[in-house]
Amino acid sequence: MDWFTYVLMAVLLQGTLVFAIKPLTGIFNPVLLLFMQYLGGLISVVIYVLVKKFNLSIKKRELKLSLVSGFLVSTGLTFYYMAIKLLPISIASPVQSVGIILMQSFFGFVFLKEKLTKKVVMGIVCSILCIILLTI
Amino acid sequence: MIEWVYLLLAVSFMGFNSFIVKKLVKTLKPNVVMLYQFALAAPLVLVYTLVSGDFVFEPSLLLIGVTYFLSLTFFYIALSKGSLTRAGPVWSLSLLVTAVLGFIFLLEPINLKIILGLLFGVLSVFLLRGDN
Repeated sequence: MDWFTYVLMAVLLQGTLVFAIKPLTGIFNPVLLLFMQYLGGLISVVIYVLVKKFNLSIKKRELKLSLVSGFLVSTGLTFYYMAIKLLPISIASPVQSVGIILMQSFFGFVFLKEKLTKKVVMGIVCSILCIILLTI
Repeated sequence: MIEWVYLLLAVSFMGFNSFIVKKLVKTLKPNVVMLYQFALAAPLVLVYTLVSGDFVFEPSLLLIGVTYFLSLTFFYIALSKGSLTRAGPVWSLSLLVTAVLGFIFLLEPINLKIILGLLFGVLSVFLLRGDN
């Protein structure tokens, strides 16, 4: 299969997953859903890296960063799942996606000294318009 | 009001995380980063679950995790076969899939403001992610 088929499958799975979480938050504790997501994900990824025989050795600094990343993403998703219980999914999902991309650009500009091209500025304007239209 | 605070915190934590992941995947395979992330995240979220409410072990919910893993792995494979410049913008459409499913199956309200917001959202992700 080519790259497009893979990314299309990823998009459909990701889009459907976030959608499926919304009605489930009415039945289960949203944080429990996130725990089951990580448990299922952990089991899957362990099987995958063992089958693929990936090299799991990692430098101390990379391990520290991976653990910080694990803390940030899981805590961030905990807040997100608590938010989608209370907000329409058609509002929460785009605001979250756009907000993350906006932050990536901000960090890239401030810390990595990435160039602020015309395209990036247009992207920032569009993301601000998106957030205003969806939240006000 | 509290829901927007939750969303703001989520975006802040996850936005900073994506910055760290971007650094990590320069030297490590994405699935290896995922393994270490999940190894910390699973017990941490278990603690959050126990603190926040009832814990009910429902094995069928593990499918959420399998789906999450598959979607990320398919995206990483797409990146290895194509490039972020090409696969990134397509990936950004997932927000549209979620919103459309919400309109159709959950009968969430839809109006011109929301449609325009979604279009600007897709466009912004396309423009901001394309060059990375």
